[in-house]
Amino acid sequence: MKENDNRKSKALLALYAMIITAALVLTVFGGRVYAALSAGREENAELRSATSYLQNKLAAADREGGIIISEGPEGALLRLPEGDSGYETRIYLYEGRLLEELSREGSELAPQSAQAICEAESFSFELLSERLARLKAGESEALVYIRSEGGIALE
Amino acid sequence: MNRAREAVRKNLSTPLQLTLLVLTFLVLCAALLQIFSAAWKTGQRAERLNAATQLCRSAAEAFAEDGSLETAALALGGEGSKTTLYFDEKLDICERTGAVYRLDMSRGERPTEAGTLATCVFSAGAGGEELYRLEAEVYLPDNQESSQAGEG
Repeated sequence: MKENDNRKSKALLALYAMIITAALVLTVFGGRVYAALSAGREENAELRSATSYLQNKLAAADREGGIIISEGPEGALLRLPEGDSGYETRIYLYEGRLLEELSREGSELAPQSAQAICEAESFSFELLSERLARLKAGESEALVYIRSEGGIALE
Repeated sequence: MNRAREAVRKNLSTPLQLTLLVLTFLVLCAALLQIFSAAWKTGQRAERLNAATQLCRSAAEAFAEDGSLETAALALGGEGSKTTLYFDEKLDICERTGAVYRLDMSRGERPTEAGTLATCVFSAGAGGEELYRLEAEVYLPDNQESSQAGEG
């Protein structure tokens, strides 16, 4: 009788332990699945935010000679002169990151002192016409129209 | 009598505890599922709103070049004659079947003293719901307006 009771208690304990373990595993598993699914979405959102930021940046540089396109280390290099200050903002891809750098005009690129905008596999700036361009960072792309005459110059 | 009661109590307590434990487990699972589901839906809605905004803005930028829907449609990768474009999850142009986003463009004109004001409403949506709407205007001087006649 006592042995029977003992066996019953052990079985019950084992069952309790199994259910609690299952609850913990479900919670951890559910959390990880959600995190993995969100990671991909966040990556896309970061790229889209970056292209939106660049659209605004280029819109702010909308004036004659405001945007100069040249070849960067890993794709396009956009140079946005800051008026007559002698400084310019440079946007380019370097080692998988889209960088923004404020430097003296004519100086060498300094990616170590640039600020990262986002991570991207590629960066391009394609002119569709004299003033309409397609900006592409990774898989995210956006169109930019420069209203000023001579706003975009090729180097 | 007491022994009988004791026997009944012993026989019922184990299944009862087990049932309560399983019920608690199920309630917790349901609660977790609700939380994850709600968070997922909010994240998805935010992403779609961002995408809709970007579509409308890009279309408006292209429209700004010459006030033409054809330019906007071509720049976005679609056919120049279409006023409704469909895009997939990555915002690449695609056919209607399998599309996630839809962009509707409707153009109008308003004459002014020295030209025409071309207006356009860009409406982007997903799942049959409009997510974002953007109105753009482009001034077309008289000589440019004559070349846009009949478009839109």
